[in-house]
Amino acid sequence: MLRFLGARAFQAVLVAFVVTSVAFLAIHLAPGDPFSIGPGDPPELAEAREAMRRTYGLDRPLWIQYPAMVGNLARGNFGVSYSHARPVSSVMASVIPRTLLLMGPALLIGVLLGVAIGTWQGVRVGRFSDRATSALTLALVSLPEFLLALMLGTVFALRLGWFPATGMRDARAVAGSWLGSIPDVAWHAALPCATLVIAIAAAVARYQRAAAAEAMAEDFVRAARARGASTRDIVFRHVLRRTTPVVLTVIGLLLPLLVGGAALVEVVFNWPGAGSALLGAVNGRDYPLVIGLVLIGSVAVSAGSALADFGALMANPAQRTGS
Amino acid sequence: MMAGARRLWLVACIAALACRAETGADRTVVIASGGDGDVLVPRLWTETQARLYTDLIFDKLAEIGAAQNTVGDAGYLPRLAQSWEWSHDSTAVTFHLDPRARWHDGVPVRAADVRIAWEIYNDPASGANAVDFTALIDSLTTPDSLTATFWYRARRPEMFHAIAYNVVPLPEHLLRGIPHDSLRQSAFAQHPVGDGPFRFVSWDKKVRFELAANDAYFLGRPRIDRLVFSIFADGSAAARAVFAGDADFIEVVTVDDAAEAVRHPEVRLVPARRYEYGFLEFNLRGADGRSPHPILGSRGVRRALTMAVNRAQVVRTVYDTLALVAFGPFTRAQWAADTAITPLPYDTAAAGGALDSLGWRRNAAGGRARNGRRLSLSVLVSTSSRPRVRMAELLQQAMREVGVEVKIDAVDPLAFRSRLAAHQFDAALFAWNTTPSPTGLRQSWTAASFKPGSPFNAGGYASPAFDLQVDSGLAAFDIASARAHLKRAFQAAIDDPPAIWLYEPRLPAAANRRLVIGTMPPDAWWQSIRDWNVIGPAGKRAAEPPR
Amino acid sequence: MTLRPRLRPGRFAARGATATLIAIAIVAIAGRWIAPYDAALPGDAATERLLPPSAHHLLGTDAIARDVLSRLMAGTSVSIGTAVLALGIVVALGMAWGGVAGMAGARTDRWMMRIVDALLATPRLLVLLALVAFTGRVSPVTLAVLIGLTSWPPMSRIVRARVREIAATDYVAAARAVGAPPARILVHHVLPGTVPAVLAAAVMALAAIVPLEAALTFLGVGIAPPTPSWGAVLHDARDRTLDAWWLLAFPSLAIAATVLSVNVLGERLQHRASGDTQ
Repeated sequence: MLRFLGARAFQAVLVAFVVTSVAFLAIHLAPGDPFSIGPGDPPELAEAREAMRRTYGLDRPLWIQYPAMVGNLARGNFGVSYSHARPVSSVMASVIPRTLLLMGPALLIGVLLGVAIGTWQGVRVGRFSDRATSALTLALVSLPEFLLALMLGTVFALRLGWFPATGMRDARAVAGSWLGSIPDVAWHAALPCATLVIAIAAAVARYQRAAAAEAMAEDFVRAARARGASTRDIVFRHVLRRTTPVVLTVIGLLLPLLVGGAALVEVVFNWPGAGSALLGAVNGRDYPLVIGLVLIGSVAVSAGSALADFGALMANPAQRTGS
Repeated sequence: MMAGARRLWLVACIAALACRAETGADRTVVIASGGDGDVLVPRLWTETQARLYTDLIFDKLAEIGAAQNTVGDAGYLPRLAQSWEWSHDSTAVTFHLDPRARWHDGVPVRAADVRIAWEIYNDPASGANAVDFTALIDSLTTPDSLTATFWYRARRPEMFHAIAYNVVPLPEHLLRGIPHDSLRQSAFAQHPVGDGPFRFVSWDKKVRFELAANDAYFLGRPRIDRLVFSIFADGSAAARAVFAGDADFIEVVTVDDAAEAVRHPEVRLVPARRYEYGFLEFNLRGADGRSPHPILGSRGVRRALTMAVNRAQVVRTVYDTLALVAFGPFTRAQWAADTAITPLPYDTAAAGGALDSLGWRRNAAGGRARNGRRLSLSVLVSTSSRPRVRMAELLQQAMREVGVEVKIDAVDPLAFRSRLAAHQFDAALFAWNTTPSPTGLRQSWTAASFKPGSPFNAGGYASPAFDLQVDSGLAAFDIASARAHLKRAFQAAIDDPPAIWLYEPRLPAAANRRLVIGTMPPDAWWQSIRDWNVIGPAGKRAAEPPR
Repeated sequence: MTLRPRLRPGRFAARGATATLIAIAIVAIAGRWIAPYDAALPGDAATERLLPPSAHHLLGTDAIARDVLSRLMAGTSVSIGTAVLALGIVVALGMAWGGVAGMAGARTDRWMMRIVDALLATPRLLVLLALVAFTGRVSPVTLAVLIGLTSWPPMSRIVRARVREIAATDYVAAARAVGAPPARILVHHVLPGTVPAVLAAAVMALAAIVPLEAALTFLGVGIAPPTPSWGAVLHDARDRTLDAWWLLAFPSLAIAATVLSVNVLGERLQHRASGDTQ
């Protein structure tokens, strides 16, 4: 157990270090400067922008900036975002919850839906209904999230007007109570959330189907059937218990992909979360914010994967006692 | 179980709709915006969106009129200043403040507010982006609480414009104790108190910026109640928000969005005049910045390249009817514009002949070469502008016709800026945003603005004739003489083209039909917001005409 | 209980997938010659902009009157070429890292695999977004290298597992006994045995790489214009999904068909590689 946690903690630190260093180098070697002026800007801005460059210390050489950044990060100081003009930690504190608001329900609904579909298919494996729905899940898995998002947005927001196309809240809404805004936010979240739910459910269903089919073929299921247990009992008593480690492992594997997919979906729906913030920061060369977001994203995914693997380990009695 | 889920879903939808109907009934206008501001003090911002915000929150002394004149004070309309008068020798201007003007906290606007504003803008420590006052203005006196007199050092044609445009009064009673160098970081800069038609309400950075009508506005309360800017990281998402009814207005739509808008009956396109002109700027200098560019240093080659391009067709293909062919380094919305000027013709035969006579001979592969050097150029373009990338592709085709090889170098916007500033390009396709005043000519095209690290006149155009006519035009006190000089400057810029003058976008704004919008001033469309009105409810399903 | 996405796909599906992939490969190689129009050449501005699919332009035309089918065909070679190059890097790095880890002692192996686990847990798209956008100008080769450099860890895990299995066989033990150096054993005796597993994993990796290119280019941070690619056609479609549906539909179809075929085939290969006869 301790060994497991230690290995995972080591991983997280390694990820953090590699990701920040690579991002730092890539950013600073890239052409372009966040405080340059260009077409569209009034020329009188040149001096003000130059002053900001100095304020943020970008005029110092890289070999001074890099250790300073690593030192600050180690102490939990992410620096100040140029484009938001406030600490990166405060920017992240406002954007990350919005991403979780999207991903949390999507993950929960998607996994439950995926397990339900996969089990249903696994129980009747080989029949027409199984084959037809399996083909559907395979097709959905093959459709990248951003395309799905674009299609859902086009049909349900732009053509039919049932859902808003963009944003997290009705811009017209008066800032009111936290509770009162729930329907509005839920309504805005419907399409981006549905996109992620479809992607997650399809992926989970495919693994669950195979695992459930395998479980159904095992001796204890035959024994239970012989005892006269109904399919429903078998599924809830035996199959789901046997397939839980598989689902948890799959979640662990899906998590990094999901974070990337969610970022794209956020951009398509202009959901003001971490993904949109990252794209904005990348385009605006907002170095501290890019590093902060990539760092947090990587560490969060490492932690999430570790949690899922840990769950899988706990849920699998054979492995727990075995090795 | 399915039926239950469906019922639950229906309930959720109805709840959401009910909530929407309730909020949509008020007189709120949502503007979809591609960017957000930074510092909410006039002339202290570094993001142009903040200029828009501050213009709504703070009033100017006087406002440029519909004619967009910048010489003298003809056509200027009173705002905070009820009236103004000139001294006998025209070296001082006295503004009389409107006694009804109030800050949003109720304190009257006084001459002291003009003084503190001038002091702040004039102090390099504050980092203001205003004009350099030290060369223009000697001093400011405030004989009484409603009178402010600016004393000029010398007479200049745009001396009135410089003050009316740049010296926006600030609340002295709130800024008194704040050192100028910490103003940008002050709390005031994040939630300012102004004196304009709208007052600040709330700001969720990069998400939402909200203003409300100033009920006590002395020139008449705006007809809308609330003004919300919904910020989009990405321009096409902003337009989609308007099409989906999430927002009411977007200031400019792309040519693609304009076509898509036809599909949405509740959205209409609002024509707008713009101060933008686009071109393919040639780099006239070699890598060292002094010697001529091996290909483009030749005036004959530049003329030939210009004649090789069917500009009307290129503009038509990319912009359909939403852009006009540019004449030169100006836009038709400027008073100095001259549309009677003679452009270089589209003539591929003449272009090919000129290249032949300059020694760039056709080779077997269809290209051209001289002394073993191929006639090949790279065109720098920013990936942020889809029309410009398309235009670059069309130019590539056109140049190929006359045997010139063009490689497209599409880079992201910030890399584009740095390449432009470092003068690392053969030709760059982009556009300048100008102002009503022709002073931008000096900045963008005269020899004096070619400096290392500066994006202005990055191609290093240096024509004494052009510079002389620009200087004379900008120094002239009467419009007729200014026009005559500038016309000669424009003709020079056409004849030895430092750029292929390509297009002037006329891209429209898009608005929900519930919005009633008057004419939008081309220099600052947002000045019209105070006259906007709303009819009918918000949203996508509001297409029915109002009863 | 083993982790397995799906039972073995049917023979019919596999044949369809193979046919689709062969067709895509042909277009990728010969697309520029068999395309009906020049992909870069705009048609007539007045009459040929944004035409819906018709007999003249089977998939319609785009905003500057170029033939969408021709652009997609030219884009196929770019998109698939990028993906294949990235895949080559993935296979090379994956085999090198996995092979060394598999042959090395337990300690080195554990460390190498910990690093792989760490990289596996990084959200690839976030890292790519940061890397790609900061290179300023992205060519297909740059993008392929970046995708390759961020996508090899799963491959190395698979290779390492196979290498350990093979290294335990008598055959390899015999080679060791003869005194062959480990590097030689790895290259001559062990790695060839990993090929079926690598092939299956490579096909599956392709299913992730093709949409990655499209997503990045669609966002405007991938392959720079004017190079046509599937993502580039999608990028053009973004603002006119209602008005010009064919700009969105056909590249989407191309991507989905590729990924679907690759998934079907990859699963079949995986089952074959793992000797599963279910």
